[in-house]
Amino acid sequence: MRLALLFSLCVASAVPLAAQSTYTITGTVVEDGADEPVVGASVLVEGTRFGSATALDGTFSFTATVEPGTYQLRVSFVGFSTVRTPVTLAASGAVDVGEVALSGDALRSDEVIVSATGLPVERRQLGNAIGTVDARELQDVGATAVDQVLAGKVAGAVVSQNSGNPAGGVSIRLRGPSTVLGSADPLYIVDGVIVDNTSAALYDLGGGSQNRLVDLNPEDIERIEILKGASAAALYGSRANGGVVQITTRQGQSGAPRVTLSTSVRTDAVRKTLDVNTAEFNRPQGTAPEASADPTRVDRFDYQDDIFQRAVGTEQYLSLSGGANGGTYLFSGGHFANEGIVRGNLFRRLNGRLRVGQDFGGLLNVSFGGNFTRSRSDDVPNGGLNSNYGALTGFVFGPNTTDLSPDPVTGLYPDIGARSNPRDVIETYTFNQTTNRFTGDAQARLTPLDGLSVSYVLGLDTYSQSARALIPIGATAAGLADGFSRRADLEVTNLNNDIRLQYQTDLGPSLESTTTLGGTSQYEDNSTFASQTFDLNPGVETVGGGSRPDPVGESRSESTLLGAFAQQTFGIADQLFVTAAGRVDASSRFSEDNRTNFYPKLSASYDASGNGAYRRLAARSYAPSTLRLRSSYGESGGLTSIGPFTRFSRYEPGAYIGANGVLAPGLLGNPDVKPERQREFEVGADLGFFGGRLGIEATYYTQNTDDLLLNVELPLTSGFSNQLQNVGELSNNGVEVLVRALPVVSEAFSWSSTVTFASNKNRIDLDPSVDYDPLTSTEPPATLVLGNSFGLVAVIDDQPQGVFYGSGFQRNAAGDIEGLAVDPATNQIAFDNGDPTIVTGTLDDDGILRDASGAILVPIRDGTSRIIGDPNPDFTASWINEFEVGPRVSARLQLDGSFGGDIFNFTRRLAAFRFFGTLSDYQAEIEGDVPVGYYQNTELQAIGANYGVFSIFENWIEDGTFVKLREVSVSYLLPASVSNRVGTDALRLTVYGRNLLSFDSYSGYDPETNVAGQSTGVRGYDFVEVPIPRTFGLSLRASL
Amino acid sequence: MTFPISGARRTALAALALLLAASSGCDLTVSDPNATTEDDAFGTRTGLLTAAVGLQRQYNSVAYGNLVLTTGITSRELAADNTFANLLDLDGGGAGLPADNANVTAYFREMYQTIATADRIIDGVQATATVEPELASGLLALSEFYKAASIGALAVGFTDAALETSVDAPATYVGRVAALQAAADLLESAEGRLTAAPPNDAFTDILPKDNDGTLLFDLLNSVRAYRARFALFAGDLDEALAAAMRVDLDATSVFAYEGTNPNPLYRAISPDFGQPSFAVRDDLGLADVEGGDGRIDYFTDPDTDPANDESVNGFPIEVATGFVVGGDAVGLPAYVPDEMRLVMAEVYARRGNASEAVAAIDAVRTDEADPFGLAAGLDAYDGDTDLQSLLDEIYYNRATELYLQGLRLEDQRRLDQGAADSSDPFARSRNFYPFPRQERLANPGTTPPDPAL
Repeated sequence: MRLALLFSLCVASAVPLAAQSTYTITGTVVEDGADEPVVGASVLVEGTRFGSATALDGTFSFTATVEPGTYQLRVSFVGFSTVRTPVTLAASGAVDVGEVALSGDALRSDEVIVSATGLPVERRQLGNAIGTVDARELQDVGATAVDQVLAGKVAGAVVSQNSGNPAGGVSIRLRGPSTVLGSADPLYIVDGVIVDNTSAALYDLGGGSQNRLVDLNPEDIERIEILKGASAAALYGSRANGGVVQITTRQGQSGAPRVTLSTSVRTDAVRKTLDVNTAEFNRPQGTAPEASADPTRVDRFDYQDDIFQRAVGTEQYLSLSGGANGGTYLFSGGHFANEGIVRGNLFRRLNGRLRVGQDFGGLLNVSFGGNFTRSRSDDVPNGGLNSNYGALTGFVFGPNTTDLSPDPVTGLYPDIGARSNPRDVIETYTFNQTTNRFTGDAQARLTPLDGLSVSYVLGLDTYSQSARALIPIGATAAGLADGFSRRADLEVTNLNNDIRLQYQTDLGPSLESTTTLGGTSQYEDNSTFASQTFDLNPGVETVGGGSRPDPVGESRSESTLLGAFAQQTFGIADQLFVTAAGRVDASSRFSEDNRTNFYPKLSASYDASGNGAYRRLAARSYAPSTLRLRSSYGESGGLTSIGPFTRFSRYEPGAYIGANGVLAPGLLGNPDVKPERQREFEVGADLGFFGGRLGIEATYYTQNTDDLLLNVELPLTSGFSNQLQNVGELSNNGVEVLVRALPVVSEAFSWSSTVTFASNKNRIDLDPSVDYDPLTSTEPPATLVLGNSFGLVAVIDDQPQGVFYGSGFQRNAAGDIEGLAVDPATNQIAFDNGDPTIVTGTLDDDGILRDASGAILVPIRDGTSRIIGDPNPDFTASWINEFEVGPRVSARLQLDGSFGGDIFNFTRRLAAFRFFGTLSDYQAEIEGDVPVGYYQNTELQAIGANYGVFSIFENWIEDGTFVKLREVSVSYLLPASVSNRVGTDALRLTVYGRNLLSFDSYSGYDPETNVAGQSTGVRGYDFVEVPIPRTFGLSLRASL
Repeated sequence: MTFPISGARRTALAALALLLAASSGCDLTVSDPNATTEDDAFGTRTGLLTAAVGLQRQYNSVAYGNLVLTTGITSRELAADNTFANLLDLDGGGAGLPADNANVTAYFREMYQTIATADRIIDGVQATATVEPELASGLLALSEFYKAASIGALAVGFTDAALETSVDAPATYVGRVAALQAAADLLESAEGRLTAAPPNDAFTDILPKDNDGTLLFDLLNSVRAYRARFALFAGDLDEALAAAMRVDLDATSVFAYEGTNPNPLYRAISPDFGQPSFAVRDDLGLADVEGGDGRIDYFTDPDTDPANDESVNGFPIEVATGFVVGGDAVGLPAYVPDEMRLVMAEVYARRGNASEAVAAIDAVRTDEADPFGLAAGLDAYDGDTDLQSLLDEIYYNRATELYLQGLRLEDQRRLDQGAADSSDPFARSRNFYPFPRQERLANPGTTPPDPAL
């Protein structure tokens, strides 16, 4: 680290310095309209490190040693519009800039947004609600990846962390899911480069996988803009259905070299563990404990003690930036390493980034950016979705009656029963994946005439991800006792070329026009190579050294997209802003007839506060000081649900006993597929009160995706199972509200508070020709059962995405749950002449069925699949508070809530089964607290009357409502006497916590989980995915 | 709501797009390097050969396993031994078996997928001029064999079957007797083709062979054996007897497997791969067995203690042995020779020829050396010779000799072995399956009504 610092200082001193003079700059900062001094505002000579904060009376005074010239003095304070005022520094001496007025701006109206129109435009001119996040909000929050950190920060963005691994996957839904089959995550663009965010499962970790946004270091980010749907993102054409997240990385500023250094340590631990079965005996199924003469006494263990650990992590970041003579530069390097809370799990990310630019007299600007990342994770399989060999999987399948320790003589781990021994998994299996990734861009902007510019961006994102799995000989993994080795490599390249021509002119005294033309070509190349073997010899780790290889899997695909767009914007009297745009796309994924698609957009914003008469009226009345109305309509496309070749019937290789063969596919090709098309309309208002200290931003949107691609079920007598067809419709309708207030602004204490609220109603119409009413229809609705869910998640006509679908409780005509009466003497189901007695009951707080007298009933299964739960939350809300106490201390607190979504607790279901019985539910059955066979009753099953709640899936649906203390941080700016002594300008110490508390009634680890990872359709599925940890951290940031 | 693009801008746009297209070599027509197209698979001589290999794999490795495992649960040859809901439902059987049971659906689906490929090969061979007659006869006969096997397999579990697959029109169903007759007719056609134009080496090259190059699958004898089987099921006793007589009883014919196309029963029943989904029933699921019957010892190993001697649903289960669980590469018989003797016995019995029937039964009972090592080693039959007694004896021999060949459910019905009763661990839990829900929803017009049980 010291070497790096030395190196950066050498670079800094190499920058030539011209003759400098020393100036004393003074002035006063006041609040516009109120003439109150603004205390603690930051004043900075842009492009230099000279600046100060305002004193109690709003005045500032500081010295700057710079070359003579004209500079911009930037005055900013949280919650106020930033003001830049020119200051001319000629001869050395005192310069008074006089009074600088800041106006409060909770709405951030002046914030410049680039992504919506492709050119910098103030927020107030846009017809859409655009979410923005600044670097300040990304730092010291304990998040490991960019998508994770967005949780709660943008209204209408539902961010779900699917796994608690340090590189665990994250899903983002902007205004709800926009597709069923493909990825519903947004399109990510970093500095103009389309970056890949694939969630490749190169080996089977039992459920989740990483998504490759994890390769991006959050420290490198300056700013994020989020376009939530087609009406904002139409310019991005056929890839914008999930919305667009545009990320700008940090870049150098003209001026003296600046060095920033940050270092942090953190620790993670599991927030909550499950209650395991601690019964001291086992008993054969169907017999009460006292009936057995010699009940088998057993030792029981809590395998969670062998699985979870207190994890530690560390992060370093160093950057050098600056600029002179029209050139700017930034170099940065970062290292992040964090253990997982499951022993053996470690994620490490190393990255280096550079960004250099040169301006040639305002005529031409050229810049280059490059980032190299190496990410590596040592994984531990967990999750019960696929693999038999996970650690937490072994824990929940149990039974928990075996000491997990290896045999002292042979060193072999004992077989615990159905699945792997968790210690064996953690201590002897090796799973790791390494990604080497380069993302780079070259950009040029030519401004040949005033108002005319031509810009070009070449973007490249390429990586190779290599995964290796080794299960050694003697493993307790079922079927893999002789060893298993797998290697899978993925290579991805994304290339985009974008050219844009822009002409800005005033057509009249109050009519401003901007015309944009653009074209893009995007190329994607994706190939995988995977190989695996069984039966290893001692010491062998490679696939090549195995004795029983599987066929090698290889696949390659490429796809191309060409697009062109035109956009016209008019600004009328600085009050009304109208934009019309259209984009034409052609993609190689479609046959020629369906290849070309047109996506229009029209949007308008009316800013009443731009009108002098309104401003005067507002000043005299209670009318909002800012009043803005906006509306927008746009269309976009979706390509994620169709692979490059899914329009063909694909006969895949199927060799058989030494002869080449092809196998008929289940999926019948369809040459007529076309992109999914989203039409979105939004309307909203932005209101500012109290001189901008209270801002309300409210938006209603309605989003319809037509031509939804679904794998339509064919008659099986066709010889095929499914065909991809543009048959369905999907809609998302909702409301987003953001309220930002600056209740207290003073030198001693400032408080800003932001509340976001978003409610989305999602509905899928599988067959628009039939209107299915679940209450009156006798016909079953069209249903698509989704994979990766044990057939328990379905897309059902006229229902929201991803409802849980399975067997339920038997109910009588009145809807009351029915159960079988229990004989208190035997604690078993009572039989009267061979027949059980059916009684109605209700579920108590623990989910146990009881009759009116409180006696437990054994529920009866109704085997017909029906909707038993809905993982989509009714609404989400967040509350972010930021405090400044005096000039040195600041604090931040964020609460995130999700309300009304259901979770499928498959973990608990499994552990209640008698052969596994690892959690306290089964203990209750052993100890007689619930009747024998409550969870699974074989006796009755043989006569077809009952299966126990194990087979009643409805029993395992729980409310996933939560409120989490997501982020807490307290930060202290050390006195200059300290920071200067160690050679820095500023030194800030921050203590932070993440996911510290969760207020929920969920019985599992955490209602925020999904074993199906980044699956679009399968959400809220709890099956021993690693829970999200509680994180504490300490960071130190230095700058000079 | 569209944005007008003026002519000049259109030109500019086109120019821009062209420039970009030229700059990165963008081709909007990308072909699939990973898979074969339908035209290539069924429109060329090489394609048809590879399709015929895929056809064998489809039936032998996938569809056949589904038939045996699914109907084996219902006929009580097997017990479900895993906790997946579909298995528990199938094991429970009865009127509560949901129409979307995954095992039943897969069994139905894979058979039609086999038929669809066979149909395409039959059409493709006839439309492709470069296929020589000696290859054509083999490809057509092979396709007819697998199509007939699939239709016959569907008639075991369903009341009706469609004889042709189509992606354009709803299927036409016929009753199961007509379907079995159609299957026998397809086999008649196949037998005619093989005898009229014996296939050349180009055809036999695609049939499975052992390491010495000996054919493992005997197409002609299999065609005759299946013709006898399905004619018997359809009630056509004359054709059944005649076809059974033409089968060479010394020949063997197996569905071959290998590491990459493993024996589906081994994978489902053996505990080598973790908790298996299926377990063989103690005494092959029969209420009464004869002591010393070598066939029961062939399939189960009473000397080895099973981990559990009860399935998850409490059925008595046993450790499996024999070709069922011999390993990934151990073949399963396409038919066993003694099936032909039992076909003859049944024809004779039904015709009232008890002595010939008993003679055929005894040939099976006293067998000491079967080509598959599956020998009863019992004494000659000394029971009653009325029709039902003979049918009961034939059932017992079929149940043991033809264990796990996907035939017992049909045998239980045809040979009057009691009624379906899901609460009796030795009676079939259903007669026929409901038609898969997917079929009914996607083809509401012609899917037949579900049987009550």
